[in-house]
Amino acid sequence: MMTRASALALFVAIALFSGICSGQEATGTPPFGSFGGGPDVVNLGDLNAHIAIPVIHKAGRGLPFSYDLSYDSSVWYPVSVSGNQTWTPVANWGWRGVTEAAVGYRSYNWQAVGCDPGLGRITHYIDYHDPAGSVHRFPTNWSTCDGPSPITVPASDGSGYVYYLSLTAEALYTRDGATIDTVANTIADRNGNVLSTSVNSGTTTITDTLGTTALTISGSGTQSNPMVYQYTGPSGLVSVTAHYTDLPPVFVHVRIRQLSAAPSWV
Amino acid sequence: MARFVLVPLVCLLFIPPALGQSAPASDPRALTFAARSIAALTGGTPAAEVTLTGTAVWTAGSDQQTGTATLMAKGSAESRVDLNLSGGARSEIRNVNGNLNEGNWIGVDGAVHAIALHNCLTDASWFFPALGTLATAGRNSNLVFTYMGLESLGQTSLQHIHAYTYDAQFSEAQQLSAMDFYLDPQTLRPRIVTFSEHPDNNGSVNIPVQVMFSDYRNVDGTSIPFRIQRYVNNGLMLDVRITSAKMNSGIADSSFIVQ
Repeated sequence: MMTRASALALFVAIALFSGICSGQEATGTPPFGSFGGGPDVVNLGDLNAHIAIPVIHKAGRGLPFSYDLSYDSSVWYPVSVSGNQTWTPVANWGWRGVTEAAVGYRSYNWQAVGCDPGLGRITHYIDYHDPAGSVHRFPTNWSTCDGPSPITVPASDGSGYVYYLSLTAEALYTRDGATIDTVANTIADRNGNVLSTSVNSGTTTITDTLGTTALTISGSGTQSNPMVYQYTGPSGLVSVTAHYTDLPPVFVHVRIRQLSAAPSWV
Repeated sequence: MARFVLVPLVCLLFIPPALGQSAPASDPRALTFAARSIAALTGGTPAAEVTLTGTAVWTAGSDQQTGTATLMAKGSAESRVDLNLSGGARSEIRNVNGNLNEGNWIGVDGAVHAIALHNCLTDASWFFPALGTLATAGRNSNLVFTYMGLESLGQTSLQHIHAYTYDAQFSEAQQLSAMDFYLDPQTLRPRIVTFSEHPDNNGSVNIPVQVMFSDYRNVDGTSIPFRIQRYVNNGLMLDVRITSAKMNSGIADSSFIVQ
């Protein structure tokens, strides 16, 4: 039986080493998570359902190329504005963006702050949203007011990602030394093999590490102009079209979680 | 450190604009519409301050509270909203007279909190456009106006003006200060004003705010909207029906003190 002292120590340890708390539920398949279900992957910690619809998976030189249409069900999260709570949707309503599904993207949590003189920005943390929908957080607390020094920050989730940030540059490194450019939307491994994306006249082209076009994506995601994914298969050009349908409003089943008021040993 | 030079990922967000850059020029058509709108609101006599009192319905999800509202604004920098609701009193004070802290909100517990600075770059007098961005068009070279054209919103067409504050030192100001004014094409009085507010701890997330003005009445030569509805995230959050309006009554600056 756990003594009060050891229980208290455990509680303090959990409090000290738990990740940064935000209103958003963890999506994708975060490291060290517990999952169930299928084909949708249910995070047993927060009941987010992640579903991935494969478009193309192929080998490459150094870096393989995978592209899935994926969705996470934890869309709404609460935010507070001057004492008012409001529910806010995540980007793209839970679906991965066109290039996000290939290389991910990064977002910032920052606040405006008063410098002397003028205004500046303190970046509390940077999130890297990987192609599979998991979010990797880099706590930065980095202010632009005083001409800050560059920083190098590891992800807080133990995933091995490292972020470099300065006033003029930023870079994201994976555990095995690849560099992800979330501005140019490219990934380069440590041997110089590059997976890149480009957009021309509304068509996104993804080029694999062999220098060949792995996938082209066109369309605007509407009924009249659906998204079309095209790649060269063993027997010629393959097209995957995402069709869109207007659905009537649905009632949303709200999941309410409740923490017990106090453990029984208190 | 080879890895730091291999891929110097230049991020627009993190590059401060060159010092000495000047604000882009405003669209003359937008300035003309703004000036004509202010003239339509004030009758040609600039407004200095306003006090509006009325009834308020406050809605947050399933919680709906009713009560009274007092809205005060002085110049373009100071405003105060006091709501005395069935669930308790609530106030918001804005004062952008050069302080690092430019706003307070006071909840039902009476505690004073700072309004996040990134929520203080739009008009302090969001409920009374005659004292806001429109009134300073052409007088503040850092306020950039663009004429967006005649646009259809629902059943009606409105003249659309976009405005933002240019700050060479703080590029995010363009996004944080952006406001859109939709003017009645006949009277040129503002019908809808939209802008974004942001979570207290995150200026990068935009929450749409839409303020709708209707039931304009003439008070001492000034055209005042007697119904003001504030939508947040596309839901009606505050519905104020004005019962009394006073112009230039001499509001003390002490009403707008921010802690």
